[in-house]
Amino acid sequence: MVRKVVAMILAGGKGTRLQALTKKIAKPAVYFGGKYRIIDFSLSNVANSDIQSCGVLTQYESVALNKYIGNGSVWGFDGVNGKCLTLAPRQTEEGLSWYDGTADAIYQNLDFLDEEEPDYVLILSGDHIYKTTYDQMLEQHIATGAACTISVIEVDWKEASRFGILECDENLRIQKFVEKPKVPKSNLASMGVYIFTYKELRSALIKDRKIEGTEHDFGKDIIPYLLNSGKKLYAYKFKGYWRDVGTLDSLHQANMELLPSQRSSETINFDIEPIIYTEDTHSTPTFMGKKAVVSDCLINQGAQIFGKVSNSVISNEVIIEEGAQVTKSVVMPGVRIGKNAIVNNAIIGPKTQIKDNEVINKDGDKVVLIDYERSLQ
Amino acid sequence: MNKTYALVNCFEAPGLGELTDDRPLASTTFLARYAFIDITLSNLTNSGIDNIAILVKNRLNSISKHVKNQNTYLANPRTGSLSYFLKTGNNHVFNTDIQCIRSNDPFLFEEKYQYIMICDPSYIFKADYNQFIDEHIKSGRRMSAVYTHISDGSDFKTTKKFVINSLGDVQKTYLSDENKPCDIGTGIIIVERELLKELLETVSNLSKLNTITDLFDYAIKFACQVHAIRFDGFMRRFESFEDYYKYSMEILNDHNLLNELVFSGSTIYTTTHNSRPVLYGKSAKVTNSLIANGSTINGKVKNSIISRDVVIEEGASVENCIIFTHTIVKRGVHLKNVVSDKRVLFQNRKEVQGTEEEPLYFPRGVKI
Repeated sequence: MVRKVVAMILAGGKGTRLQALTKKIAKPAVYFGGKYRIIDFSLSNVANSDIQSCGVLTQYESVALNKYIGNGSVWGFDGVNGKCLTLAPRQTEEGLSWYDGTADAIYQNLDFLDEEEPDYVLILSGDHIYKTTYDQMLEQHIATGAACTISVIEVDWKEASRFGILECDENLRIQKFVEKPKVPKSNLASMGVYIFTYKELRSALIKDRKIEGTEHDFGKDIIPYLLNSGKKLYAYKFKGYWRDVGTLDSLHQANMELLPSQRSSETINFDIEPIIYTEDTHSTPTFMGKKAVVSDCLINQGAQIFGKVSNSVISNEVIIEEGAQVTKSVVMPGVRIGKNAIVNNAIIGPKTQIKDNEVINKDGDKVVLIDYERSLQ
Repeated sequence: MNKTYALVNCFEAPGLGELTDDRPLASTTFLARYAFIDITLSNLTNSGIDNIAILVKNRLNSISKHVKNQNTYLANPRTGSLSYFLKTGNNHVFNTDIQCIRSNDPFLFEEKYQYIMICDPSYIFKADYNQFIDEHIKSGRRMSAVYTHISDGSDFKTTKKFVINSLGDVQKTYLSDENKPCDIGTGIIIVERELLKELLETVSNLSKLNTITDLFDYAIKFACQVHAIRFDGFMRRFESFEDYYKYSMEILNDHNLLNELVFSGSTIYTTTHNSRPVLYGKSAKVTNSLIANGSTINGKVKNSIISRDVVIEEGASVENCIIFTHTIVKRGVHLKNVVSDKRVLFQNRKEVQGTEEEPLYFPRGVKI
């Protein structure tokens, strides 16, 4: 029997810790790895799991994200049974209502889910870097008969107090969920990836809506509510490369991890299936000029390199002029780095112009962000 | 709405030696990430010509595998169309471009198309085809051909040259390998739909083996005045394997040409393979080269064109080479003046060198 799964991707976050990078675009639309956008990973994972129906919940600065996602054809959601809808807050008979929490965002789109008639709903965050299929997690969810299965990753005990932590029994049945515990009793951190049996999700969301003073949040409200109601909730152990790129430092670090010198056997490998799909930018091949020097780099097509680049991630349509030196940096699409400019340990936002001879963070050990807005001043 | 229907004619393309043994020129790799037909299809799309048929002589699978999805090339896949025309029937003797068109002629009866533009992917240049159509309309002629002026005709031995009269019409065509300035065709003919319909029938009745080239000569001599439209810009016709290597290197080594053809102006569309960006290791040394995504480079690359998913290991070097997809150059191997087809493994022979005049070619899948 074919079980129908609908994926709901939460992509409404403002991503304030990414500073100017998210001034005009939502965090899931931020560029990553020279070629990708953060949300490509979630959307590709869903597509590679043979899930054909997908809703993307957007709210903050959603135009760029909506435009990017389009009808989902990049990830193959335009097949006969496919659909990929961006679901922004809308005006209803009760007036305009912003999404007030992750659970509320799903609640406000119960009509979409009802129409899809899923057996299960996969809810995930649109701002994590990892490559997987959700097949095994779904199999486990069905086998255990759980109301909800939460994907978890084992984190360093020292780090555990930064995460939402799940305390489980030996069968991985969840006993307790604690958000950022001061003294963690487990190192199983929630990845913000849930599979719900739809009817359980539906009734929990409706009940949560009626309770005053809740934050309408999956971690804080829905999961504790289900646990208190005696429902079966299980953890699913994810193994592999997973990164939350919520800050400038973590975004820079995750990019650096893709470089040949920093790769490990764990690092995301784009060469083996499942494939991460992304928009086709119709870029030209990369051109390396006569005086180009490149070492330990990841460089996307469309880039033209005339200067010296090392330990850096360079996106499409970037021009690095002769005499320029770029080290330990992440350079986003459409950037021009002028002649003899020096850029070190930086994230250069899309379409930013670095002037000839300009020096950015030459000896700095802290990552700096230079963005497009600055070019306009 | 554009009133032009375009025929991309793959019948008249010259062979590029062993490169085109089992693929047509149209789908042969060009400048690392493209195939020849991408340049023609992109010129059409960028000129707003969205109804296109590719006349396929053979090896349809190679072309359709490359073109893959018409959405890549068309501005609007609903109002536009990208079709393949093949000659019907089993008699291969009559597998000519004219019989191919006649087997697929419904478009010739569609009144919305006033003009038919015939183009040939073995001619490489970037142009706004609309300007040609505008000039054709202005000329008042029923047929036009686009030409360019070159200073040395000896490089274009099998490409038709034009004699243009004082009225600006093509008076006759000829072949010559003389080293002197001349006007040569660019493979583009613009013709009124009704006239093409008549000519196809007449020329086919003269001989069922006749081709579009014969039709063009017939039109000049007996049917109508053919206006000559001048194109000023870089144009090369790829007539042989030697041309393939020579012109590819010419474009790579002249940054103005590379800008004109690839980096500036209108976009060249091609099928995406979802390959990751290129990884350059600590020991990589890469200069004056074009590189497509998916490759991993740890060795030395100079004056070369590297296609998708190529691996060049540390201690290997590649100079003045054109390397097709999925080729691996192992440690200690030095390639110079080599054209390597897809999935070649360079491993045991350490020094592999051709010359600039006679580059070495290695066919698909061989181990060296």
